[in-house]
Amino acid sequence: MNAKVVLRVLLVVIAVVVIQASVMINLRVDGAHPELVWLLAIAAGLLGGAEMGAAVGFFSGLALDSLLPTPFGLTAFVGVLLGAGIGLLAERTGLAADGGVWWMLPALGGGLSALSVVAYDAFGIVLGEDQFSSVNLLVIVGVVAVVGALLMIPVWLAMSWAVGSRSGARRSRTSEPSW
Amino acid sequence: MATRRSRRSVTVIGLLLVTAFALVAFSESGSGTSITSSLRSVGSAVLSPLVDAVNAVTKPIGEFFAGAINYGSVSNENAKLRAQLGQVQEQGLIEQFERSQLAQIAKLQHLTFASGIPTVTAQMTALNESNFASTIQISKGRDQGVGLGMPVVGAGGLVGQIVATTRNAATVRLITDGRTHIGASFGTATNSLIGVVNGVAANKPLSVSYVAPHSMIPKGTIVYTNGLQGAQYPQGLPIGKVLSATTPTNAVQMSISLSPLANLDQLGFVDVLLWTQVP
Repeated sequence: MNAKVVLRVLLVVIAVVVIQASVMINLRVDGAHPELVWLLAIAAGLLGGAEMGAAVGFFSGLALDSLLPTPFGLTAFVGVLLGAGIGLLAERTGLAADGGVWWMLPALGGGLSALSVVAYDAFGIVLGEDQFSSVNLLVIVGVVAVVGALLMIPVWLAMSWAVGSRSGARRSRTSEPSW
Repeated sequence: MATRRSRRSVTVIGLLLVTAFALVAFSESGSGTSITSSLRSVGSAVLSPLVDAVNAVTKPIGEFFAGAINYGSVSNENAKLRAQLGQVQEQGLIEQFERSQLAQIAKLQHLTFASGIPTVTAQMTALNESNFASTIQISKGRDQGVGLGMPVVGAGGLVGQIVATTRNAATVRLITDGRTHIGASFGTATNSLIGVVNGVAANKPLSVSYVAPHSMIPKGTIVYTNGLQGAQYPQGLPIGKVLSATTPTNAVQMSISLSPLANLDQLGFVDVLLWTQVP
């Protein structure tokens, strides 16, 4: 991956994290707000493979962790798992690449964001943080899934631009990351 | 070639996972707090100005749309506000912002509770709320005598507790945060009850545990800290007002919800009580 791509990815990550910490955090439905940061790891994993997905999940999670009062590193940890997991799946199956059905990306964005929030909450409970067991997880999962599904395509397009992938269509049928 | 590349991927992913896990472990254990605080400070220093700038632009727009969506309630609120504004104008209160700030400080100087406990007045500098936690940053820290565990109060009542300090700033965990548990008492002198007040989540009412079923708790009852529960708070700080108190069928305790007395949405200034936990 060349310096230009790194800079572009960094720009997209910062933009999404800033939007998350400013705009999204104020869009509350029954106390829950959307979480865009997971979409970055998903898009990076789909476009660049496991390694890139993990790296973007780690750094975007760390950036958000520095702004939030929750355990430092937890978002990064779940981000790495998410980005690496979806990247591995994409490398092996060519998931969501050329020729995929139109609803694939929103479905992945909504479903995997929801799964990430559940995993995040589960890890928080394992760490013994009381607040993770007292929140209304159903509402949070619902809000995160719906907004994740709606915003997956814009985030995907931004990440496609960053990695220089034409129309979001990455080398789908190769198992080797192109960066 | 491909094998070498995939080996590198596995190594990179493994390293990232271990690093993230180590950061969580440091953050939770307390032994590496300085490392995680430094990283948090760096990230915050870079991103916070951008977040503030975007907030300055988008918040008015967001409020406009929120107003459009909640038209009915906003209309009612507007009517009330107009009435209040009329009263305010009659009383000659101009320069509302400055005066409200002054009023907050004045109220903090004359708190009806926590008398006898020395205080440090601090300004709120940031609000950090997520789906899982609620904290604020204040402008006073260790150099001004602020220490871990000290209670923080606002004009209406208890706001939270100091959970992190630097030389000139501190982090306050709000009472709405899910990690908050406060020993509380309420009721009359003849029918005094105790329980534990729990935070639930940002912008959500507080809940009360361990109150015997079918206890008489009228709506509007004020709940105070009781000085028990490891004495994390001094006795007599008002926490909240009872919104509802019911006993679900076959329940072993009542289901009680409280609204915080301090206006957590509009904290300008707060008082840190220079009070430490009883060992």
